[in-house]
Order: sequence, then structure tokens, then C-alpha cells
Amino acid sequence: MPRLLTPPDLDDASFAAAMKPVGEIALGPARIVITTYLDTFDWRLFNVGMVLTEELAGGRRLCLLDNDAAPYATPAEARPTIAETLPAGHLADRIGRALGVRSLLPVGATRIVRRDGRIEDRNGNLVARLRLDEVTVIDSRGGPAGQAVTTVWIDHSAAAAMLERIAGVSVIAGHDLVTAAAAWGRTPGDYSSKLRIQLDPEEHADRALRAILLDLLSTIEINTDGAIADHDSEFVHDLRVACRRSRSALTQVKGVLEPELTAPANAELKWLGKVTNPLRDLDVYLLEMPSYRSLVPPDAAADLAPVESSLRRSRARAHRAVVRALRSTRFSAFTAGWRAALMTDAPAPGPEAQRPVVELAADRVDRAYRRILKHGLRLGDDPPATALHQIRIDAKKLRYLLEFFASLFPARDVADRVGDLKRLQDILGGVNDMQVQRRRLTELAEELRPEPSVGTGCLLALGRLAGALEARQDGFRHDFHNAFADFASKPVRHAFEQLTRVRRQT
Amino acid sequence: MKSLAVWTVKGGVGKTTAAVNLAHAAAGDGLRTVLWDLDPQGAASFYLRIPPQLDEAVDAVTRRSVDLAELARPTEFDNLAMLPADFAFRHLDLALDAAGKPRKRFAAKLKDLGRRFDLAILDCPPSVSLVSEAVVKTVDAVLVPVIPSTLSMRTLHQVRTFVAEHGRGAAVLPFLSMVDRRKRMHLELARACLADPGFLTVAVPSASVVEKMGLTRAPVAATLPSQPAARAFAALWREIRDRVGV
Repeated sequence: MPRLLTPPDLDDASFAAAMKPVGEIALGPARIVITTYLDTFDWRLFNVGMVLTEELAGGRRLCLLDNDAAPYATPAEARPTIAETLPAGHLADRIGRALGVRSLLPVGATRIVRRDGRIEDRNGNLVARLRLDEVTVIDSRGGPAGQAVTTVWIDHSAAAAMLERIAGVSVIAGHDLVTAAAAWGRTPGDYSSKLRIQLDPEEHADRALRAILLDLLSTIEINTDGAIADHDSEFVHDLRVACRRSRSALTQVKGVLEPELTAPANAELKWLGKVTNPLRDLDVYLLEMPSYRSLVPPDAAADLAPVESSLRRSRARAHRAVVRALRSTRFSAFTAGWRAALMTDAPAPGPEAQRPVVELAADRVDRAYRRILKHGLRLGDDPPATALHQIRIDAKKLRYLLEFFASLFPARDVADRVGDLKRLQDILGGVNDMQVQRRRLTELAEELRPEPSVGTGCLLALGRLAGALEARQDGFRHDFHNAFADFASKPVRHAFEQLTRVRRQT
Repeated sequence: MKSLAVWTVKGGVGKTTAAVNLAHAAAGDGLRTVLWDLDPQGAASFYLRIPPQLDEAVDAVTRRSVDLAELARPTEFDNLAMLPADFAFRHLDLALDAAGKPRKRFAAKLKDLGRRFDLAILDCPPSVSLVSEAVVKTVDAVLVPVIPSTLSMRTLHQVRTFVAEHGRGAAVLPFLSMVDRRKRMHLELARACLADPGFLTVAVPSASVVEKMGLTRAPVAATLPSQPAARAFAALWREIRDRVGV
């Protein structure tokens, strides 16, 4: 349905006269609608062409603009957050999957004076639907941000074309997400957990490394408020990933920045990882609960209820610890100091600091790939968990390097190599997750045993679950050999050699 | 997608007003709803201001190559689209018979609609025909408006027998329509009907706002949402939703 911006001096009579060749206008009474735009922190709806709004006008409605599909609206009792809180039906089906584990958050708002109406033919039949909106963007404190604009929705292309001929009328987007978000300091698509750093291949290594570390520091800072507010589990997750990536950059790209600077930063990043560890582990268990329930027979699934409530209590404690850490002077001193240290153009004294970053990147990627091969090729048929864990860490390091330096290599090649690596990582991650979760189940059984609400049924269900996880782990271990053989195969070796060799020659 | 037919073999019992108001209530409830006007009189189309004319109307029902969902027209109301009637539908029986396998064809058409809608409400002509046979064989439930009168209740018996003979598991959900609380016979017969567990418990009253739909050309809830008739249709919709499991 086209939407047009009309000049403020276009009155009802002129509008009706302009529409005369199409039909008679019939307009309903004006009403006030408060619209709040909802999306995840990382714009998961916007990224797939969807715009979700909550409209308050008497009741609450959720309205979805979904690419070219007809606009959709449904009543809702409360503003939805995570996918499970969406009203059942089309909205839950359509956007539930897009949300994943993320929560909807308000990202902008408008106040609309709205009149719905129609254009009728001589017989009173519907020719076109109309919606006249006087829209004022509202800032995050609820005050107006800028002048009101008047827009017309009209689902009749000829009528829209006639309106367009009036001076000052122009076709505009079907929503005000961009301007509404701007008043809240956001731009659609402005955050992604993926690294998006554009490096110049000839740039000195010290400048490039600082740019990467600054980007990661921004990710840590951007996620702090959400991690404290606890909108969803991904704020802490993204914050932790940015910490790990930073540490990986510091330890893998040595000889560039001065150790007096990097060593204390590394220690603080390690502290952040450690202090958020229990929370993340508990989040993973809670996110896995539905799958746990499906792994045991239905009668045993109900027996897992005390496990879930115990996990939730532990999680609340773990979150309080994270909040204390993120509000501490230690954290603010670290972020401020680290930012100040990275915001310099002075050449770093390291022996590799002035090398073109592309050379350094090629060296490090090459070295990381070889390290995985070295460790993997000496494994026997039944490798110990520690050896697989080592390869998992090696693979993660290579993954981070490919992400840091993606802009220096052909995009397609990097994507393909990440794909090769991802298959291996998924299996190694599976082996590790099952190991960690089984260990945690044993600990949980120990913790829960004395609780009066925990019966034999619960402990038995935990036992069955541990068995199911072990079977899964065996499955992953079985898949590892084939996945590693693929990763170490000639074509993949050759592709990695090509990726790093080409760049070193340039 | 769930499909509901509003059908009875007696005319003038509030069939079309029920179809329009229930479709409006379902759409307001967040279901992507299509109201399919199969009655050549085109009253449902008239109420929703959609001109009763469908391009290649009969072909749209009989030919597999035509995607019926493409022909649905938006109404003034969110989530509510309409397949308007066409006067050519008076020959739909003959056309379906000539095309062969009427039930399969009908089922294929509802499948088309299912790609874009969550609910289809079919306003069927008040007659026993090949169309009604195909409809009762295909839909999830048949909603039967019943005026508390002897004739209307006799008709319900006929509908139940017909659906039992031809239906394939469609539920028959009768409901009281046009109930005039001032008439003792209405009240007595209504009580008798509600003792039948098959009946929906919400009764639609006889009301001038429903009669005025011909003037307002809109569902009652769109013009006078607080009127008892509007509230009755909303409650009736909720009861149908829960019974059918939409």
C-alpha cells in the first residue's frame, strides 16, 4: 500500500477534490495512536524486511509490515519481549523464529492523530482504503522530537499517482522506523555481534590492531546496559565474545603493541570472562531445557521441574554478580583506560608494528591453520577429551583471525574457509558442550539431593538425561574423524595456502 | 487453515450477517481471514462494500490453474479479505458437476487459500446442492443459524442429517439467531435448544443494528461495538474459536 507525504496546507476539501475522479472520500473520526517500534537489539526483524509496532489506542495491537505481504495486526494483552510472549498465531509463526533467543525492545516511538477512511464509487462500493496520519516522532523521554508530518496511506495505485501530482506530495517509506529510531539515538542495523572492520591491506599492523581492539571494546561497552538490565541472554554473550576476541587478538598478534599495555588489559579481559562465566553457563542450560525435556521420556520430563527452578535461582545469583562487576569502578576504569590507550596514532614499538597488516594477517592465519593440522593429525582413533578440547581452542583462534582480517582477503574465499572451519567447530563444540553439561548435571544432582522438593524421580530423570547426553557426545565424537579428515584434506589445505599466499605476494 | 461454512437450508435466518460479523471478529482477533461469498445474491459482498463480481468467477472455483487466494480483495478491515460473490454462481452446481470431482476441486481451492489465510469463512447459499455437498465434505465445521421456531429447528435436523450423510468429520455447530426476548415462544424454544449440548451457548439477539447493516454496510462491531448484538457476535466467535480449535 503506497504511503505519501502531503504538505501541511493540504486541507480536506482540496484532498477530496483531488480524489474526485476516483470516487467520494468518507473519513472516520480522528483518534490518537501511540506507536512504539519494536525490534531486537541487533535488528533481527529489520534485517529480514519486517517492521513491528505496538499501537496503543484504547487497546493494544501489534502491527507487522512484512516485505510485500498485506499489513497484519493482532490484539495483545501486553508488550511482547521474547518469542514465547508473542500472541499465538501468525505473529508468533512469522517472527518467533527471526527473534531466536533475543528479546524485543522499544527502538523508537511516534504519536499519531489518525483518521481511517475509504474512497467509494457511486454505488457505495469500496474503491480504495485510506489512512490519514499526522505523525510526531517522540524521543525516549516521551517529548516531541521535531515537527509533525502528514501522511496518507492509499491502496490504489491510480489514486496515489493522482495525489503525487499535487505540489509537495511525495512517496515515502511505509513506516517511520528510521526517524523514530534516530530520536532514540539508534539507526536500524547499527549493531551486529559480527565484526565489521574495514582494514587497508597496507596499513601498519599497530594501527589495524588498535582499530580491531577499539571495535571490540565498543561491543563490550554497547552491551553493558543490556547485560545489567537483563533483557535477554545475548547481551552478556556478546560482551563475553568481544572479551574473548580481544584476548585472542592480544595473544595471537604479538610483537605489535607494547606488552606493558597489553598485559594489564589482558588480565582485565580475563577477569570479565571469569566473572561472567557462571551466568553464561546457566543461560546455556536454561536455553537447553526444552531440548533436555525432549531427550527423556515424557513422564521423566516433568521430574526435571526442580532442576529448572534450581537453575533459575542460581542464575539470578549469577546475574547479580555480573551486575556488581559491570557497575564496579574496576570495570569503568578498565574501559576508560583501555580506550585511551588505543586512541593513539603514535607508532607502537613492537618489532612487527610497522609491517603491512596483510602480511601479518597471512602469517598468523597460516600458522593457526597448521597448528590445527599438527594437533589433529597426531590423534588416535579414540582421542582423549583434553586433546579434542585443544583442537577446539585452536579452531576458535583461527576463526577469530579470519574474522579480524576478513576485509583483507577476497570475501568469498574467507566465507568458504569459515564454512570449512565451522563444520569442524560445530562438532568440537558439541563434544565439549555435552561434556560440560554432563559434569554440571552431576554437580546439580549433588546440590539438589538434600532438597525436600527433590524426589527420587528427579534424580532418576537427571540420570537418564546424563545418559542421553553421553549418547549425543558419542555421536559428535564419531563425526569428528570425518569432519577432521575433510578439514585436513588436500583441497582445503590448498585453499588455505592460496588464501594466505596470494596476499603475501601483493 | 481452518474453514467454517455458515450454512442452512432455510433463508432469512441471519446466515449472511453472522458470516460477516464472525469474519470481522476473527480478523480483529488476529487471524488472517477470508470471507468467501458463495451465495449468488452477494449480500455478504454488499455488506463489506466489495462489488459482487469476480473475474472468471466460476473458473476460479472449478479450474485448478487459478489461484483463488490471488483473487481475494482487501476489505476496509485489518486482516480481513473477501472473495466476492458473482451472479454466475447460480450455475456453480452445473459447472462443478461438469468439471468432475467437486469435493477434490473444492479442497484444492481451500488449500490455495490456506497459503495466505489462517481462516476461511464460507457464506453458502441456503439450498441443498452439489456446492453444499462439496462444502460440507471439505470444511472443518458447519455453523448453522437457528431461529427459535419450529420450522427452523426442523431445518436443523435436515442439515444434521445431510452433514452426517455427506460430511467427512465436519462438526455441526448450531447457534441461536435473531432471538427476540419479547416473544415467549422464542424464549421457550431457545431454552430447549440450549439443552442440546451440540448448540453453541451464545445467542445472537434480534436487533435493529443488525438490520441496519444494509445501510451502514459494515459489521456491527465496526460501527456500534458496544451494542448487545456486536458483543454477542464477539462472544460467539470466541466460543467457535475454542470449540473448533482455531
